Amino acid sequence: MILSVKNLSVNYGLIPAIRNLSMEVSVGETVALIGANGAGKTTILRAISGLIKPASGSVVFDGQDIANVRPHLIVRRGMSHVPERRGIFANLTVYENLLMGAYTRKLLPGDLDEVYALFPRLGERRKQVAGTLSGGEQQMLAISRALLSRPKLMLLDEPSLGLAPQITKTIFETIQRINKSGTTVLLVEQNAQAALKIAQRGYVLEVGEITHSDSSQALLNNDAVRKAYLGDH
Amino acid sequence: MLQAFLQNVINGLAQGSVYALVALGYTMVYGVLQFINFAHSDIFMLGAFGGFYLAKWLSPSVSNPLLLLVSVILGSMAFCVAVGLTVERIAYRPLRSAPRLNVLITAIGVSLFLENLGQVVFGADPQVFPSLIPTKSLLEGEGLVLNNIQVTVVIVSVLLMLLLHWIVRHTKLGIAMRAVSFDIEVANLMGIPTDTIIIFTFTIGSSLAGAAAILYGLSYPKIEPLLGVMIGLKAFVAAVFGGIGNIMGAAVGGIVLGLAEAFTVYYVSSTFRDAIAFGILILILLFKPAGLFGTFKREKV
Repeated sequence: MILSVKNLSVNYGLIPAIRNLSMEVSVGETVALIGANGAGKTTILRAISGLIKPASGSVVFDGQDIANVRPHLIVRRGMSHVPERRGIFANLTVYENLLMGAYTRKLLPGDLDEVYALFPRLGERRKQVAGTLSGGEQQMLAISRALLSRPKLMLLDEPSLGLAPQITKTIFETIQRINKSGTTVLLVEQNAQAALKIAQRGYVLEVGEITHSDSSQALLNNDAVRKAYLGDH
Repeated sequence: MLQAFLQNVINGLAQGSVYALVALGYTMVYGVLQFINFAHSDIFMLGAFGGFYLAKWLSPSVSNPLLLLVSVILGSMAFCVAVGLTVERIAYRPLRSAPRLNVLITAIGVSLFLENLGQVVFGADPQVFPSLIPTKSLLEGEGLVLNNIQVTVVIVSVLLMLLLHWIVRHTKLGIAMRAVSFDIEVANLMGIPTDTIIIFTFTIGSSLAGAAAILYGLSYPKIEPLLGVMIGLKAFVAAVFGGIGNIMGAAVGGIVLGLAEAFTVYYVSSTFRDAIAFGILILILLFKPAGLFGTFKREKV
């Protein structure tokens, strides 16, 4: 088990956002966390990567409780988080963004070649200010940047947000490839169909609580899930 | 006519580069922490006094004026860094998660504290800043006054700004500072520790204030504990004019303000010297509130 969340509760002020939630991710898996807007998917990722302090519960990553560890130290332990809306540094160049992705380690000459091989577009635009990239390119940059810390576990928050279907497809294929090369992936998505296609397992989140947890195949075949999240009527 | 124009350019550049160096400290701290470090002007003042005492102590033994100048500048920079980091540690860091207004009020408090402490320690009477390098006129007879002090001020400022530019563009910490000023949370997700970057920012800002203080002392050799107030306000105007948070903007803003003052004094009246800075502030806030180079953060979604 690389990540184990137990009885996690998160409040925003007095309002509970996540109630007593437990979930697990094993080494090598791709796990999808799906749910409607406002269900608390982003909040869970933010609590895991240390951006918000949980009210109670534990987050065990790679054998250690990280519920109260600050986010920049969690990165050093081997977790990277691609935030919602990509979070690229729009004032920095593509190259500088990548350099920041490798902040915790020494950037080796081969590292960037690897990224540029994964996304040739980024190589072509390495000197361009990242704010001028298209949405898809920004997502490619955000993912590449997160890879450069050499994570064991990668959290992805809505990588398909605002992207054209064709680009979404490319992004999901890349996530699949990243997973195959040994990085465990926890994927938060509203695009449940696409997410479950590349994940082995999935959790369905509804207003702060997990309502279903099963293999992707079973979730794709589950009537209730299909109705609510897969656009089946 | 032309001489007068050139003379004003020379005077304006010399004065403006001091504003620019101080303005950089305001703008960088604002970029990272989103508050105006009002104590910055008093760190400038302390740099002037630090340099004053250091020069007194060094001048009997150091006869080479260039060596004396460099040591006093470096000494003042180091002293300002020590003060700046102490202020950050004691006054600002405990308020990291507090509302911005609290930090702003604290900054004003620190500023008043340092000003009054200065009056207690150094006395309220002005002191004469020692002339570290003997004044030599470089141009004469053309109706122009250009001396080695003015040239030194401009050269040292330009060198420091080029160094800053290099740090911010090409070092890992410099790039991380720009990343933090764009989005502190995402920077944390890259493994960038906020506190390290804040310390780095205060170090650079304070050291520039320290250098600026000595350059100021060379040009206007009268220093007193409230010295920072007016310079600080004007440097703040320069930073807002250039776009607060924007490094290039602060440098340009400082130079423009220096030139504007010089021209105002010559063509209008010296009584308007201080009014021009605040006039510029009002105009920029009315017509381009983000400043010359500033942009309100906008993200393509």
